[in-house]
Amino acid sequence: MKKIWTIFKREYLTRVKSKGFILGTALTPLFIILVTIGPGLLMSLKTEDIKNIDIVDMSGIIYENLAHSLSDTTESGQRIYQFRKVETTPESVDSMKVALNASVDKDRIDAYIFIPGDIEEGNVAEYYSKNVSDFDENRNLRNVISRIVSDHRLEKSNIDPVLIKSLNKNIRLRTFKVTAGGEGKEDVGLSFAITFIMVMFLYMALIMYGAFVMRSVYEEKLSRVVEVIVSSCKPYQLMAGKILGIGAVGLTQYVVWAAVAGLLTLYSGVIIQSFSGSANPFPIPTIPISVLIYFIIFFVLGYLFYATIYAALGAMVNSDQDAQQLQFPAIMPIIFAFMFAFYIIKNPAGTMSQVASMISFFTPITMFTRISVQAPPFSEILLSIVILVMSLVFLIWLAGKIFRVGILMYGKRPTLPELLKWIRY
Amino acid sequence: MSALTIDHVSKSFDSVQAVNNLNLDIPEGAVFGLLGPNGAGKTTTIRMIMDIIIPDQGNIQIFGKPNSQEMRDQIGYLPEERGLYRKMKVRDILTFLAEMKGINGNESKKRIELWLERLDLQEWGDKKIEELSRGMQQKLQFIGTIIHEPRLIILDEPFTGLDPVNTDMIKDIILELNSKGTTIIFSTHLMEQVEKICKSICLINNGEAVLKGELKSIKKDFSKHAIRIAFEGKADFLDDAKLISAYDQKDSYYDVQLAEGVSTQQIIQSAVKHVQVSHFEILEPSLHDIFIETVTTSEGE
Repeated sequence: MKKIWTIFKREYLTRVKSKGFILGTALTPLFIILVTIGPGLLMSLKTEDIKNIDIVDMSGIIYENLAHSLSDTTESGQRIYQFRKVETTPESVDSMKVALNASVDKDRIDAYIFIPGDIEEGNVAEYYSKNVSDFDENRNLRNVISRIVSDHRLEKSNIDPVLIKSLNKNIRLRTFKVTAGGEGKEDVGLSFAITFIMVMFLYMALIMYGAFVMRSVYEEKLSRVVEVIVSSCKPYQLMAGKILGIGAVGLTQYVVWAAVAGLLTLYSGVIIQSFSGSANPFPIPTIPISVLIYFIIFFVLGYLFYATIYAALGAMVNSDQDAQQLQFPAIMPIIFAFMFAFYIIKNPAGTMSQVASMISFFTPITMFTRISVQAPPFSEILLSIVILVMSLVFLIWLAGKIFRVGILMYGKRPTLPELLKWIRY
Repeated sequence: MSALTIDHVSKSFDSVQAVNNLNLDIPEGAVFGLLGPNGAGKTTTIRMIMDIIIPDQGNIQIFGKPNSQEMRDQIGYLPEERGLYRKMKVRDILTFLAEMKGINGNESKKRIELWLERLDLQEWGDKKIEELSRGMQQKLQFIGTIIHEPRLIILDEPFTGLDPVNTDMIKDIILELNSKGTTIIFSTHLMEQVEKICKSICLINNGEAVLKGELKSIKKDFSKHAIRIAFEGKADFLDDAKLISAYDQKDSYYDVQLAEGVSTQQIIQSAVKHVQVSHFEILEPSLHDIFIETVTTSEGE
C-alpha cells in the first residue's frame, strides 16, 4: 500500500505541477466562456452604424409603414434605419435601378429596397446591398415587409388586424418533470441541457484521462524506467498507483472546473447585466443530489474500467505508432455509448436502453443518461453497478497479467495468441 | 550464510527454455560474477530473483528466507534496461527511488547529498534528467540502486556507457561497499571486468550453468600447464625432454609447455642451475579464453 502511495504521489505531483496541466485547467473554462457567451455578447452589442436605405415603393403601401415599424435606435438615440423614398415611374424603373446600384457601389447609400407594384399578388420584394449576408437584418426586413403587406390585405378585406392577432395567439406548453419526490419545478429545457453537459463531461473524462494512463505506461516502458520501478514494487502496484494518480489529476481538474462553473452560475445574472445593461438572469439550474452522486459513482467506476484497459494496452505498445493504432479500439465503445445516449434521451425506458445500460463497456454513460433523464428502478441501477464492478475486478486481474509481462517485452506488438500466452506466464 | 540461493529454478517462454534447472549458492560478502553470452538467461535469472518474472519451477531464497517483497527491499538492482523520468529533477527522482525502498525524510535527504557529492553531481541536483549527459545519468542510476544501503547489490552490465574515470569511480565504491559486508553480483559478458573484481563466478549458457566455482580454482583447472620465462644464458636446458615437451621462442622470452607430471617448481630449479632468470610466470588462461572454450564445447554437445 505504501508503494502504491509513493507511485501515486509521484504521478500526481509531477502532473499537477506541470505547465501543461496548469494551462489546460485554467484555459479550458476561459475557452468555454468565450465560445458560449462570446457570440451572444457580440450580437447584443448595439451597432453604432446608421444605415441609409433608399426605398423604391411602386405599390405605395410599404414606405409609410416601414419607417414606423423599424424604429431601432443607436446608443446616441439616432434611428439606425434612415429611409428615403425614391419616386419613379414604371417606365423608368430600369434606369433608376442602374443609378441606385451606382449609389450603393460608391457608398452613397448602404442599400435600397425595390417594392414592385404587385407585391400583394407577387409576394416578392428586392433588396440590393453590398452585404447581403447579415441574416439578422435580412430576416428583420422580410418580417416587417410581410407584416405590412398582410395587414394591408386584411384591411382591404375589412378584417381588423388586431382581432386576428388576438385570435391567432399561440399556446405555450409548460413542462414539469415528475420524479420520485412528486411534481418537480417547472422545467424550461434545462433538464436536457444539464443531462447533455454531464454526459459530455463523462465522455470527455473517459477518453482523455484513459489516454493519459496509456501514454504514461508506454512512455515509462519505452524510456526503460519501468524495470527500475518494478524492481522495487510489484507490477500491479505500479499499475494501480498510475491509474489512481492520473484519476486524481482528472478529479482535481474537474473540481476546479466545477467550482468555476458554480461561481459563474451564481453570478451569471450580475455578469450578464454588467455586459448587456439589462437584467436578464437565466434561471439557475439545479441538479438533484442523487444525480450528482450517480455522476461521481459512474465517473469513478467508468474511469477505473477504461483506465485499466488503457494500462494493459499501454503495456503492449512498442512505438508511438502502435499507441495510435491501439487507442482506437479502446475509444470505440466510449464513442458508441455517447452516441447511444442521444437515443436514450428519447427512449430512456426502452428495451435497447435497458440492455445497453447493463453492458459494462457502456454502463457509465448509458446508465447515467437514463438516471438523469428518467430514473429507472433502483434495482436496475444497482444491478448495472454490480455487473460493472464485477467486470472491473476481472479486468484488473487480466490487465495485471498483461501489464506484468508486457512492460518488459520489447520488439513487435503482440498478437492475440501471444497475448493469451502472456496471461499464463 | 547464503546471500542468495537459487534452487533448481527453471523458466521457459513458449518453446524457449530461458533458464534450465539452475542451482546457485552465493555466500554473503561475495563478489560474484554471473557470466554468459547474450541471451544465455542471465537477465531472466535476475528478473526471477526480483520477482519480475515468476519461475516455472524451483525456489529462490534471499538471506536464507523465502523470496518476499520485504527481502527484496534489501536488494539493490541496476537493470540492464534502465532509464529515468526525463522530466524529473535529480533530487526529486532520488527521493522517489529512496521512498520506493522505504527511506524517507531527513535520512533520505542526508544520503542523497552524500552520494551526489561522492559522484560529483551536487551542482546538477536541481537540473532535470534530460539536461544530464549519459554518463551522469548512469551515475545517478547507480546512486538510486544503492541509496537504501542494500545488503545485496545486483548489477546487470553496470559499466556500459561509462568512461574509464567513472568506471573506476563506481568500481571503487562497489569494492568499498563489499569490504563493509555487502554482497555483490555482477552480470556481464565483459570478462576483463569480472577477472579484476570477482572472486567466484558462474558461467551460464543456454539457460544452464556450465561452469561455476572460485575463479582461482577454475583457472587452475583450465591451466595449460605452461610457463613464460626470460633469462640470460644458453637455452640448452630447455631441450631436456624429461621436463619440457615443447617451447616457443619469442623476442625476449620463451613460452614453455611442461612435460606431464612436471611441476613448475622443478622447472625453476633446473633454470636457476643453468641460467640467470629475469622473469618467470605461470601462464594462466584468461577468463575470456575459458569462456569461449566452455561455451563452444557446451554448444558442440
